[in-house]
Amino acid sequence: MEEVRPTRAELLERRSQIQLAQQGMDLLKQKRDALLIEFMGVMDETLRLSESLQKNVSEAQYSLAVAKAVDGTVALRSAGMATKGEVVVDMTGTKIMGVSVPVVTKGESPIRTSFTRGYAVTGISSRVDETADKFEQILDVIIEYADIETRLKRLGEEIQKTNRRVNALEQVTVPQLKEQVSYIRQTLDERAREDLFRLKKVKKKIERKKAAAQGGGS
Amino acid sequence: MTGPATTRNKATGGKDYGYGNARIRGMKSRLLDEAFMEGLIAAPDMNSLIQNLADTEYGPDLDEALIHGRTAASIDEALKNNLVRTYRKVQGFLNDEAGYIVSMLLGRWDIFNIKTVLRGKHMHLLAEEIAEGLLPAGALSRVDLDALTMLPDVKAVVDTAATWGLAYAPAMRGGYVAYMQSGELADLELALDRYYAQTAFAALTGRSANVRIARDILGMQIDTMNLVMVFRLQKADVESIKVDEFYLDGGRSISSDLYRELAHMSDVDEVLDRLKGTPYGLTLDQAVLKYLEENTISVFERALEDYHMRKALAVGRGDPLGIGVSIAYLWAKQNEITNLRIIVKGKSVGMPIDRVRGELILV
Repeated sequence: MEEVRPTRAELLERRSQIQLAQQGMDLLKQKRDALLIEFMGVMDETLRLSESLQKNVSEAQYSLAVAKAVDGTVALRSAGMATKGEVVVDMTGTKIMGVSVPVVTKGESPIRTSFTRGYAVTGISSRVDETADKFEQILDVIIEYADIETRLKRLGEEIQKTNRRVNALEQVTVPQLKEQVSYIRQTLDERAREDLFRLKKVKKKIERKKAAAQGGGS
Repeated sequence: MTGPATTRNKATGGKDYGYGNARIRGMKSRLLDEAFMEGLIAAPDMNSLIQNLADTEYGPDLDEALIHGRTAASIDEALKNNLVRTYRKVQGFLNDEAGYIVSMLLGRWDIFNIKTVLRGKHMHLLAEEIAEGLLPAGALSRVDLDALTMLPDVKAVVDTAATWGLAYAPAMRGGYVAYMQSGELADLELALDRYYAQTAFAALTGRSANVRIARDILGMQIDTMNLVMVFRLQKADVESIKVDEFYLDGGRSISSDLYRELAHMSDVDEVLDRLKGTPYGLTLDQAVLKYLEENTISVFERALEDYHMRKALAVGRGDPLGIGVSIAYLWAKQNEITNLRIIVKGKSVGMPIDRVRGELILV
């Protein structure tokens, strides 16, 4: 235990600290509950997107395998050369319950049509074209997923941090302060009892002295 | 720069099909049969599949490609090399007329390769990267294509094609102007596709039965491309697209008027109804159920390709001293390689056997 001066001022100080800690703890618990509600909402969205991503990936992989098999790797490589492009992503930030979270938004949808993919559609099989389309859809979902997953991660971290703070206050700080208060109170009580005992002793001595003086004079 | 080192056909006589067709029949007898394909499908793993395949015509190509590992990609490379080698071998013993007809039909590979080089140059890729997307099965040899990949940019490729006197140079020049204006390589590619369809069909003139057969095959190929485009347009905003730009001349049964009419129809059902009177009506009708299940136009493309393949293989059963034998063999070879790719890919990704069988063409 840290060194505590067993004084009345210290007792008052510790009591006000306990009150402050409990207020802080209540606020943190409220924040944690609010974050949990937000977290569960984001979690649902993340699960939905994750399922959609898994479905899209498996469909795209199958299309790719069929296109590679039927049209050949060479045809796919050639088409791939024409369709190279860039994905523009905007990164901003927002606050959820005071928690800073990055916001990832699509600058321009990565999904293109057969006519805007970069190659002349007349010379490309629909298998290759549909494979490109499915992978573009994956890219689209990945950007959404990146946004929601980052949000989920940040909220999760914040909930953990808040939980740690609540636990620290609940399990360590408040019990310590209460222990200190009890120690100060015991010390002060003991001191008061000692004072009383001493005063009684002094009083008894004075009375005895007085009685002796009265006995000698008579 | 000197002209392209294209492989020239060794003529065995103007119109003598005897020697060439005899050689081709010999090669045809070595095509893999259905039982062998079934054996490959049933192979427990990639190693036993390679083992089975190594005892066939593909052995030498596999020996070379498997140095880089016993993977599906290496087998794919071997199949590609075998296709190129076989096509070159066939072209080597065709007579003048057959050589000319086959070069017209295989011109689509030249277009494919030129487009690949242009794409690579447009995207500033390295020559090695571009080379991975080439398949020199047409008149342009690997050496010609390598020379093109070494050029610095799209303009240099267009200029070199003109210097070499390639048949596609005028289209490339015209397409290059559109490309410079729009910045879209698709304009240049479209010019090449349109030019090939037009010129190849126009070049196959004459009343001989051989030319007629080739024109039918080419016409079906162009019809397939136009019909696939019609189905694509069904899914696109037709109003904002210049529909006519994507029509390829030279088709057998799909005229430009019919194409335009089909492109402006409201849905696929209407298109299929309208096509009922054409040679493709029945084929497409049979694919409707699968289309409804999968909702992808590749179902129709596949049905049309199958139809085209059946017709191409059927011409081989005609005149034994005509071009049909060569055409049927070239198409059968391509079909075999596609099926092998499907089996290898299916094996490598763990595709269920029934699904692999479903993807195979005409087996």
